[in-house]
Amino acid sequence: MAIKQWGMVWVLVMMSTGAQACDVTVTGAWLRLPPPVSDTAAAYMTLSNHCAQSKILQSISSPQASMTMMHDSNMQMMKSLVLRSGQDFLFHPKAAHVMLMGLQYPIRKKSHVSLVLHWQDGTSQRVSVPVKDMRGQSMHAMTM
Amino acid sequence: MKTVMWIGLFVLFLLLFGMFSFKMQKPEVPSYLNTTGGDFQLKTAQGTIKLSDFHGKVVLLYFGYSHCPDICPATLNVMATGIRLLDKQSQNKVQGLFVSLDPARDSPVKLKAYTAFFSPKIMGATGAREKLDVIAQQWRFSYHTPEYPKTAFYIVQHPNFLYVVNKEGHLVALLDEKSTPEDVAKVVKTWL
Repeated sequence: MAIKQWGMVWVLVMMSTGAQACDVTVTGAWLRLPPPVSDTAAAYMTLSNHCAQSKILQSISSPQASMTMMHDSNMQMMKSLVLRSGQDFLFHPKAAHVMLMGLQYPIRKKSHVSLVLHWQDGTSQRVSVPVKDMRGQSMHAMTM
Repeated sequence: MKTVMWIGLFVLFLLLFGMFSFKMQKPEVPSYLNTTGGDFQLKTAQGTIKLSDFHGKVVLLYFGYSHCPDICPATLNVMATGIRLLDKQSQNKVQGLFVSLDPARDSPVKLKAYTAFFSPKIMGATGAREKLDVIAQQWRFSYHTPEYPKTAFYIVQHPNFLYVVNKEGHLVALLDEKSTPEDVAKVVKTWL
């Protein structure tokens, strides 16, 4: 095979790898500051799949928690999350959320907690989640 | 003298009429709530309490557990913020009560620290499983706390509404998870 042809193959391989490695964007991530005596908290965020193909989120972990789990609005564990191309998924208070149990102390307000999103294609994505103290918030969006 | 007596009677009439009108302004309690509720006795860090100890106050009652990641802290925050929206005088006539359905992990001392994070107006209480079963029956909710959990990180299924108990200890309203602090303040004001 001529050098020119090998070059073409390399370009195609790189393009294909680039398409598969596209990231799902994570926006609006935050974690509710838990009471100091609690080692449990919930994190919220929006995942948007801008890739050309579906992405499957297999699990979420955190180096700061013994166990991290995706829950649906009925507090049932989500074994995985399929994000179709162009789809958004919202983790939101009183709805689907990311549960962190066995948190290492102390989780302080205005600090950050790391989450790692593990995708089925073998890639992982680290997200730095700001901790928010929601006490006293009276905005109209703050419901039970 | 006679005039003073007539004025006194008139003032008395106005007062009685005002009280009657105020009473009439209370919303009608749905009939299904009339057969829900009842007194109970639970442990707190301050000692044993009965719901009837809070007669004379509007009680905001919520059943959950401290390892609850999402809806319990969200609800306690709405409850606390709702109470804070009231004037000081009204705040003294409200009691928040968080009952843990997970006595194995929630001691009264832990519950005191947990609820204090949200508001000093919210008290934490719990009791033996048998006692909680009776309360669940009286207050018509279902819950599930694993008796022999396989892991320390277990989930408790619990109701997600807030009970509003009037000054006489009767259940008068339920607030669902969509309720805001403003809703809490409004319903408390109605029943003060």
